[in-house]
Amino acid sequence: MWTSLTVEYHKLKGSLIWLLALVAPSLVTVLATLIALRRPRMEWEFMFTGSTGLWSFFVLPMTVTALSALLANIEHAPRAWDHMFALPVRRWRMFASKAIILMSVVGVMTALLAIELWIVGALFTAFSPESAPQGAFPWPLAFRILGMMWATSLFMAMIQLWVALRFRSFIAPLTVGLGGTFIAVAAFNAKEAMFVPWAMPVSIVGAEGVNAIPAFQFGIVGGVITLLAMIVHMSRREA
Amino acid sequence: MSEYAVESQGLGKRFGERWAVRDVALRAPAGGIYGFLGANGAGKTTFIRLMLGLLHPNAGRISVFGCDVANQRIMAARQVGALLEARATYDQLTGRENLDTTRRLLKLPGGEIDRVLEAVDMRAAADRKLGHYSLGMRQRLGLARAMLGRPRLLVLDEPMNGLDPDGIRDMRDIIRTLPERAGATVFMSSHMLSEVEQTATHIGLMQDGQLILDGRIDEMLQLIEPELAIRSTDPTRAMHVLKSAGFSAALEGAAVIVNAAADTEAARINRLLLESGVDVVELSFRRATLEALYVSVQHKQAEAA
Repeated sequence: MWTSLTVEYHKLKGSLIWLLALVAPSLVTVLATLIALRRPRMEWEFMFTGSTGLWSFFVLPMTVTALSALLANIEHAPRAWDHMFALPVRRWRMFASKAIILMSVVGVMTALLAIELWIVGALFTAFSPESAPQGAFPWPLAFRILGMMWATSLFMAMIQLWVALRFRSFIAPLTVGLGGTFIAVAAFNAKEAMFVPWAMPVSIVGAEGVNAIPAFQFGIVGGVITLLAMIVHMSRREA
Repeated sequence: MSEYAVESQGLGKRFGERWAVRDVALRAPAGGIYGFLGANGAGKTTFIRLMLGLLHPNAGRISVFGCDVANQRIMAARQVGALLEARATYDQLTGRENLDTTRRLLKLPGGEIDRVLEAVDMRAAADRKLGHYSLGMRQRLGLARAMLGRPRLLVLDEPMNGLDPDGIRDMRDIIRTLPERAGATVFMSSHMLSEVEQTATHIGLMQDGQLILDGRIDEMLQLIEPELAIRSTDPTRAMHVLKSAGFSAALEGAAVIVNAAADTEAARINRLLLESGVDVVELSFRRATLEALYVSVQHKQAEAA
């Protein structure tokens, strides 16, 4: 399994995935900072809530859509599946590795978001102390909220990856991703949102809210079930 | 241990209502080069995909060195290296890095990459990104990848496809020496008859999903009746004279083609034409070729149908 993982990791060299992983959280940080600057003084809680809201509501689903399509396209574009499947390697390992890589990249992006927010605060403290946020960066809150969001995104990520691996065309995962995000927007504030995979991470933002824990649980359970179903389906499928 | 590198019995694969491969019993002996022939859509690629476990058969079975592909896929795959699609490489990586992805999956030592690069004469270009490779270089890199781990069977699906004359010659030279250099049996599909004729020791011919010919190439070519090509001052008259004398003669451009196996027959034809007032310019035996065999088999199949 470790071999399959390292091979998948090496294939990412020169891929747009790393650029996307850097740009997506940076965009959220910049936007959240600009919004926070409109207030008399920056506040960690306001900045954090704003950035995680932006992140979970729109950027995370769209980024997961793009990441899963890019990951699958590494094999689709050069028609490399036949070569891969002809090797004496268990197919489930190939698909499990893709899933682990996807979730790892989402994890890196989530961590980057927290780190970039902290850097913004540090920069303001150094160069413009009068508008810098008061107190220390709320690392425990960041770990808890962003960690739960990352875990909850497993469900949506596995659906997107399954579609991206199943269909050669970019259109299929893009349609599912856009459709899912649209449903998530439509279902926003509704109690049912916690059952929509693309809206589950949004439910975490108000971590004290009633939907956060059920959404977190549904996200993980649904994600694991979808991952297993995807591996079984794709491994048995004819190439 | 099986004496056959590839062996199929009653193998069939259906897509919807159409049988792409039907009741194929093929035996490719170990140690040779098996040329797998057929027109586009004849079922060659489907057969190869069944051999590699990429498709599941609807009927029959197929084995590689005695390992049943359906039930022992991993064991069968360990015996095989395949070149299926020249583009099936990662353009963002160098040639060496591309080989390294497969080497890692096969758990082979690092030195294996240099060995296979040397075998296909690609060491100089190994550290260039694949985006800068020509199709011929990609094919050779694909062949190098197939050779990783010294598989006992190399499966090459249309290895000459899209290559320029130099590329075809290079690839042919490499393939021809593979059984000796790599100790591997080569199973090569192609629709380029002349290339297969120059490379293969055995052939199989697919038509409409069925294997209609299978055996040693020299034995197969003996099935073709030798032909005599006659260039004369009056080809039409020459043809009539020969037909009246009981020969099966046909006009082909400016030459008359006659089925004749022996030198004595050639001498008799020459004398016959001279006596009839037709001057013979050239008399030459035509070597039995794979193309002639292919055409003859197709004619027989059409007549039988």
